[in-house]
Amino acid sequence: MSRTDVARSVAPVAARPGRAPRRSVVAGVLGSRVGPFIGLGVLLGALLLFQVLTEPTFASPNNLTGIGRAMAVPLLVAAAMAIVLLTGGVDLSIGATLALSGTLYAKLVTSDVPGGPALLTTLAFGAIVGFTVNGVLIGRLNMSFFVVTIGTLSFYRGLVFLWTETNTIDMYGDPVSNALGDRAIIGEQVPIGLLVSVGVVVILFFVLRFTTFGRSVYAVGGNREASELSGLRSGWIIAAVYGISGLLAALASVMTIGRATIADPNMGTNIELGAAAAALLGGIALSGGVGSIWGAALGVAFLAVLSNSLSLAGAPTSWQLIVTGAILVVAVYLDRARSRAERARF
Amino acid sequence: MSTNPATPESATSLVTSIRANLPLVEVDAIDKRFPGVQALSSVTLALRAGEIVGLAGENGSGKSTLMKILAGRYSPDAGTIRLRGAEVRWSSAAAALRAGVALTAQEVAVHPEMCVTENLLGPRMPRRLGVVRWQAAHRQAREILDDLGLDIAPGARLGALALNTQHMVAIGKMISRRPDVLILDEPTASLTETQVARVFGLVRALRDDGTLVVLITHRLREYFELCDRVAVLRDGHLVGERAIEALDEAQLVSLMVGRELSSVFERIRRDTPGPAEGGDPATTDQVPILRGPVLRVRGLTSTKLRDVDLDVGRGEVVGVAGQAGAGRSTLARALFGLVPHRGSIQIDGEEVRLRSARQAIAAGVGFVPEDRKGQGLVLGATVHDNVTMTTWAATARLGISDSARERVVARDAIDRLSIRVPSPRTLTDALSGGNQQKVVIGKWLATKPKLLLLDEPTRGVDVGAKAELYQLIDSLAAAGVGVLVFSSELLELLRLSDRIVVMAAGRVVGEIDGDEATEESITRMAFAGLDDRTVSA
Repeated sequence: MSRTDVARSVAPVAARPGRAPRRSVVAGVLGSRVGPFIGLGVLLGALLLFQVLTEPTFASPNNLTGIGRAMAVPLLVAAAMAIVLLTGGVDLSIGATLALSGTLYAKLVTSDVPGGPALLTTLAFGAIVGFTVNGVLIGRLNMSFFVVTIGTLSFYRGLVFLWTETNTIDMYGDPVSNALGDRAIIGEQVPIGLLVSVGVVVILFFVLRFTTFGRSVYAVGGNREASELSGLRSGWIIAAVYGISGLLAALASVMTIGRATIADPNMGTNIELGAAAAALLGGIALSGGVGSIWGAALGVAFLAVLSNSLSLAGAPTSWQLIVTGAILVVAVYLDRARSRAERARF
Repeated sequence: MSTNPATPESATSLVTSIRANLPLVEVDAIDKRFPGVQALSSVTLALRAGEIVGLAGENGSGKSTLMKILAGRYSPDAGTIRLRGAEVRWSSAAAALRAGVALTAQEVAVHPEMCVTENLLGPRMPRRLGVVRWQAAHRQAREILDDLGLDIAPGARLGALALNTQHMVAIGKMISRRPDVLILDEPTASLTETQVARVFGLVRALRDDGTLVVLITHRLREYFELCDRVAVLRDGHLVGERAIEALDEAQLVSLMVGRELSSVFERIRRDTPGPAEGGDPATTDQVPILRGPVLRVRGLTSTKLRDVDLDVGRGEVVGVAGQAGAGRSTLARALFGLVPHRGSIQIDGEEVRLRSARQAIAAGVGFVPEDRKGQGLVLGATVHDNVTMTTWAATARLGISDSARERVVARDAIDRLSIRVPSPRTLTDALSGGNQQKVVIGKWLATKPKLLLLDEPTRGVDVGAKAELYQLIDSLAAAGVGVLVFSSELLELLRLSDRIVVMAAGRVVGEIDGDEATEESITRMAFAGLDDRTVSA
């Protein structure tokens, strides 16, 4: 009995008013579970305020629409990464799965398959590939997620190069990918892709929070063996999570194509790194079981605004890469600091 | 030190007498706070060379924290530690170890991928020109293993060995360093009685050579068996220091908990198991028709089990005893579908095949595993989630959780087991060991099991929680659940069991009625069972 017995654990503190905890309030908040989320929100708010005050073009409708358009794909990929991270894994093959699904979509469309069926086929393909390859190998055969997804990363990218002979495919004029990747509605200010991505995040939030499957994701990520012994099908839950990751990568591929109006065999390269940075920054624990999909979304928003600010300030792309990399390291450091703070008990 | 001797001779004798009388370790007004709790409040304690001091207290009383400060794992918020009269501020645990303060922690720190020799000798491996001399190293390790009574190869990978063997190696590593201060935090939790006797023998020898030994244990008897003195902590305050002769167990317990407790291990006579009393959620849905066995096992065989026959009646508590490696845990895991096996298992008269935890749960079996944190709980999840996890699928509609029903389940478990939590939404991580264990048991209330398997149900919980868990197990049995208790603590088995089954080398070697069994009779049976195959009680 002790730390939970409120009366007892609080009493000694109350008896010594002069002995305030040494840890500052800031450290306390950052060390808690919602800490990264709040910290990031404050940071994003400060950045927005700074931009609005100092950069006249930032708040222009066109610039904001541009940020929204640029956010759609990273949001999907970060959502995929977040749900995989929650099970304690990482999917390094999201970018390669994206390229493979995108190539399939481009091949279907250029073979005169109508956009709708082509889109559905592509989504099904992404989900099935994610589930049966990454999912079964990691969830059912208990292989290391690191090894498996590095393997599939290379394998899929190689397939794409083989299939396209490393040529880009012109997709200009394809209405479905154009709608998802480029078009904006409501006075041409709100990109459809952003709406779709936000919708996906909302759906995932409800799935994670209110379904048996979603809660099992957290439980399995928190302690796989204990979950299994409580009767959860941990292996299939992990497999399903990689299936969802594949599905979202496929959806993101069509958006990517729409935005670029070509299917580039190099599309999606390194996209998983930014997604991991966003998710970790938003407070999703690398060890699994802790975090919220909103945190990942906030992380994406932060990185998108930051990147936009840097380019408005005239900084070259190289700087955006450097800053994203530095932020990833900081995010992982915060993750460590948080779990250390959690463990610093008896 | 203000001594100023006049002559060299008197100086020597003075130094000697000072050595003998001065404390080796002085803990002076130590404070330590963790977020949300004052772990230690100005604790002052003087410890001398050549004594064994027990440090007693309930879970969360600050014992382990104090010892971790002493051994350089935590730094105190205020106060000083003096070693041989000189103040020390450890920069790290390694610094403390180099200065002769060794700690074997509750959570065993071993290198499972390294061999036994490397674990035992660590940085002290014999070397020539920086290259390890393996033969000499294994020879040294062999000597330590002989002292420990361990018949294992020095070159074996430690992770491949039984948990209690790993624990013995971790203890042996510290003992073999012959430290000035040896702190043993729960050294015996996973050890067998023979292993405990070995460790205690080695510790006594160290004490006689002038080592200060500090012991923390949940087995109160061990304080009386081993210690010269006991210091008691309660809620971070030192509440008493007594010579062991001046104490009995009841007094020690009341010092620890601050109130009188009827003897925890006193046997309570249960009425012959019968139809359930009404109103109990564990049984209301069951039809108590037959007094037939809930569990009937015939010829259960696996790689570590040989032809095990076992019956458990409705409302009966059957204890399973045996030395470490006798197959107790394997039997428990096999009955929960976690170990591939042959043979017949009937639950409530129905032949069942148990190939996974899910099948076992569906057949009406609940399992409280030995490793609470590793297998019993999702520590990062709430109490609500842990308690309801077993019924998520059953209560959900179309995959969507029914949170209202779950809240009822969680509330019911928290109330019935009197789990002390501010709210069901509290993270399980924040609970004490005893309350965590209640959560692990609590998750099986909702599944209404016919058979409950409890593997080391009170390991690492304090005396008060132990008493509560025993009452809880009694009440589950009274409600008609068949209970199998797998335990290395004989007193626990004697307290709980209607019948005790003794295992040795993967076989059932004997059976004793709970009222007639004694520690001696069980131990004799377990050892005899290693020689000949069956013994009658």
